[in-house]
Amino acid sequence: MDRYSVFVPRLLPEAEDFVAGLRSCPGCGQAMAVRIIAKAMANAGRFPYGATAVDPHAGGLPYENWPLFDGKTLEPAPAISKQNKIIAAAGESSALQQGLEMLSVVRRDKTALVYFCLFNESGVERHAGQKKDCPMPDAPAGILARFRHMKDCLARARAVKPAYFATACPAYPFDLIEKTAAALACGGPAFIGVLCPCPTGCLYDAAVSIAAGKSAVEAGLFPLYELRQGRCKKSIDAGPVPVGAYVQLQPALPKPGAKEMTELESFAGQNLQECPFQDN
Amino acid sequence: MKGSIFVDKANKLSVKAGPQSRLRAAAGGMTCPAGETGFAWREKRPAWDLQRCFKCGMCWLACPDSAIAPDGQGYYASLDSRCKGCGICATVCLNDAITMAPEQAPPVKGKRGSKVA
Repeated sequence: MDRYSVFVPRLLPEAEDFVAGLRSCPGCGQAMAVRIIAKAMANAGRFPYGATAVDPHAGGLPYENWPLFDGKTLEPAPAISKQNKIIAAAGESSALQQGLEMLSVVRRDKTALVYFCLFNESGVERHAGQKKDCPMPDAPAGILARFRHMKDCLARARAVKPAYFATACPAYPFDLIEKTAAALACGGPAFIGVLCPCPTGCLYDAAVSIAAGKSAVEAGLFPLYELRQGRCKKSIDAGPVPVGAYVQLQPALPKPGAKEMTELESFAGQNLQECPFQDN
Repeated sequence: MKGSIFVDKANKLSVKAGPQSRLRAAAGGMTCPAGETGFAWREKRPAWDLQRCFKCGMCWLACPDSAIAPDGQGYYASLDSRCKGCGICATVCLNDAITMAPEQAPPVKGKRGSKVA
């Protein structure tokens, strides 16, 4: 990231492929991520498969964003496998199982697929990525629900062994652009997990969206790295920011106690230990 | 053959929005069905200080609604029909050139068109 200057955004294409968004909340991290990914693709492709989480951003009739989305649901055997590149984007909820199955099938067929999994920050809605003791949506457990009650979806995606695996966050747009370009160039199945800040779900101000994403990454709750050809490379330094900085950005949620803060810190440390950084 | 209810609704909305909006919808663009006057529920809107702006484009990149576009001189401005007033552009501005100004409240009218205090 150091080699970028402040004028790099002007090098990106000015064409707006992602022109919808009237149905997303103010400060939506998912809309931000999809727009940055669309700019990184630079007319290299579209989203033939955009399901669940990206549906609201396609807009409503008759103003839907058809040039970018096709609105197909994820399927285990892609019907367009003869194409050179398949780009799919979906959330971590009901589409998670289909997405991972799709990823494993195209790996067997040696088809190039770039799969963007949009991780919502709030994570309080009922879906397939949660454990059985997760609270119901009308009684969220607060900030700990995102980390205590979630399955390790990234580990499940790593188990598929894609050719390129990375985690990203729209709070670091240049990092997301770099990883999207690398996924498009790898020539095989690629998985990018994107942490999307959610001001509505976490009840903080929309302007804090980027700061929340940065603090989650730098505190180690969602470390950014890329895994390519067996080498794990750290993208953003994590650890200098304490977990409490992330908790302070979310004032409306129940404050975790000392025991829960210890649990959050151990979760962040465990995240960093599970990533075998080899090349920094 | 009669079209589906969604097609009929789309046609009605397109007719209501006018031919220009129909063209934009066909080209993939998006316009507010209520017109170009902006959102009535928006509380704040970005205002640029052109003396502090050095045209880096970070606000344009970070906007989640594609509501910021460059003008002819290289500066950036917001599109009222898309901006939701989230304030992310003011947060990411490197030189504090953007401030969030309060939106002017639309005139409230009574049942017979008289203004209500």
